[in-house]
Amino acid sequence: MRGDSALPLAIVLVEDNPDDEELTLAALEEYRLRNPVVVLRDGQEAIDYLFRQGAYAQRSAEQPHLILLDLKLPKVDGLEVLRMIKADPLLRRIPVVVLTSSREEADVITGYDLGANSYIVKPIDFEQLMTTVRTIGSYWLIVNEQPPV
Amino acid sequence: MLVLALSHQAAQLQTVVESFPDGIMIVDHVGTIIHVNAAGQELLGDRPSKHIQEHVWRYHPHTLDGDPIPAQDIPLARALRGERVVDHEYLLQRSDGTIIHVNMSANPVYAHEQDGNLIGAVSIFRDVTEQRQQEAEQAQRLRELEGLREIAQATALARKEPAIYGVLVVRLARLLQTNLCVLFMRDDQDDMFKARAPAYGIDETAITRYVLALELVNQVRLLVETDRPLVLDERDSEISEVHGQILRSFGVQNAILVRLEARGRIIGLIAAANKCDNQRFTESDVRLLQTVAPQAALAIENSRLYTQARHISAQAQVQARHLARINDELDAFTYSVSHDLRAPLRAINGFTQLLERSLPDIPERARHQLTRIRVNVEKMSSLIDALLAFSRAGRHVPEQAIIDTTAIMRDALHLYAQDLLNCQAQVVVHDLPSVLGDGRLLEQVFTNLISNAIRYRRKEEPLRITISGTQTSGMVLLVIRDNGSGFDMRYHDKIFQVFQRLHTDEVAQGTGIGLALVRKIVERHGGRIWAEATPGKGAAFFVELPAPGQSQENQDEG
Repeated sequence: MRGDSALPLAIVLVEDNPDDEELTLAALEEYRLRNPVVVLRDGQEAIDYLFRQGAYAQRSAEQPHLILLDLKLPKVDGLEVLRMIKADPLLRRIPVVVLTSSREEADVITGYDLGANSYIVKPIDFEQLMTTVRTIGSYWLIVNEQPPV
Repeated sequence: MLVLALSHQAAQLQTVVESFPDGIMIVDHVGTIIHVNAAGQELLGDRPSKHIQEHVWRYHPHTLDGDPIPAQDIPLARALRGERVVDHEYLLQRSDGTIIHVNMSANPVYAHEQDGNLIGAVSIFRDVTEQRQQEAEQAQRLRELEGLREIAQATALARKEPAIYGVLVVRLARLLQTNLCVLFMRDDQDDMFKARAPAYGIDETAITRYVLALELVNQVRLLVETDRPLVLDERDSEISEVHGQILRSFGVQNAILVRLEARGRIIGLIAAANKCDNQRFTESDVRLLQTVAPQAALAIENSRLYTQARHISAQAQVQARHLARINDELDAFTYSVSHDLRAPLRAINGFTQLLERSLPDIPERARHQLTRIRVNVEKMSSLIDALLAFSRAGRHVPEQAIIDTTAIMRDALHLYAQDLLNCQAQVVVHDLPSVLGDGRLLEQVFTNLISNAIRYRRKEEPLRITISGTQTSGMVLLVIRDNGSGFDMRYHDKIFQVFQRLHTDEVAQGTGIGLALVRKIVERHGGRIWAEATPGKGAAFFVELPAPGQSQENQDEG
């Protein structure tokens, strides 16, 4: 799954834990979401990708339609990535779903009020995870009307 | 006629002169005494008319410093040169040798005022010894008072002991006009009275040599125990061996020692001393030290208490900060550990489930093992959640709202509606008084207690839970009573500690955190929790929480 895929409705998953990544992708696959998924492994890579700089300077101008963002990230913290997305006039229209490991972190999100469109606490139960992914997928990629990019 | 008139006038004049209260002396133009009135003779201590015809130089006054004045400067001599001398003061030796302090004026006498023909001079003088002495004493008292006031003010402002010593020795040395003044403070470690810097007249490097053993101080105690300072003088013929020893050890001629007493205990001595013997201590010096000593002792004692109090409060602050930091670290540790434990748990569970899905035809035994993995993951997950809740309760400051206890209790019961139905429980909730607190946290308290009652019920009897509450003097006491398995009161304190469980999972499932969390929340509210139980008969949990104050209730209504 490449970020430069011609298919629309790409999903960006920013996740440093390979297990969580694999499980999330498995859940997306289970739901048969055909959307291409771009996986980015730290905050800096996410910024480079979204702002088309550094290693991603040459990628197509196509932006993802949903960002799944983990909070605890190497290099640049997830909150900082979120702040930068929401400060950019174009990127700010992309829905961001924050993935948190605990309800505590969820409190942080609401406290910062950085404009995350939604946040979910990563469930331990895989079935729950699938349900969650399904809900997010259908809500943000199908039900929600996409803002004009 | 003219002569008669003149002699008549002279007689009148003589009468006036004789009855004058001040001394009057008249000299002729060359300075020969021609008359001294009665007051004058008495003042000079002479028999009447003894020195008539003698030269005025016979009475040779001295300056107030005791120096003889030149003959030409004697007031009458100056008057003979046509000068007017007004209110000059001298020391004068009387015939019997006593010295008096006199005030003297002198004027030239002319035959006719107009022609300037000087025929003699007249001097008026009076004894002002007593008056001047009184004035001097008064001035001395004033200086002393001023000095005392300065000492009181300065010592009251000084917070540190050395600052008080400095103020005391400098001002006392000035007041007593002495060249050595020092404070000896008692050292309880070795029972020595040690001179403390700053001292007046002792070099800072030499100060350690000035030490008085308690033994020595005790020997002069008879005097030290009275309020009167101890005055020591080398020239005193009856000076004792001990006193002489003290003087010699300081290398001084005379000394004055006064004790500093605080709360009935001698904490030190003030010492003033003179190195040369032309200066001696007077009665007023003794009085002065006597007045200063209690004030000095008080100032020193205050400073010590102040330093002590500051030290204690600083220590308490350090300890409080230390405790708060440890507490924070502990909560942060609990949080981060339980948080980080979730990720691997998610992976274990996720991959186990993926494995189960990808292998539809796994043997029963393997399926059972996979189930055990999942069950244990869930158990660990709930443990982690409980730990997170526990650490959150430590960091979260409870809100202070008026809580409808009955409503929250019903919400908590509602969470367990299915469980309660399953075990055919009978629950009685009486009207509960409102409490002051954080609704979200208090609901956790009640759900934990209800969940406990359900988990530790006895299988052979339907569960019965009774919840009641009373209000007394600012606090609300809630009682949650059940007829479950209870516990041995020996373990009362253990059940409220983290990871302390009295039962195995065979008997009842539990994390070992529930009651610890309950206690933490209750205590964060300023409340208390305790339990009463009988094994096999049931348990009662008592939760005491602050009741809403009168003002808050009024606010609520208004």
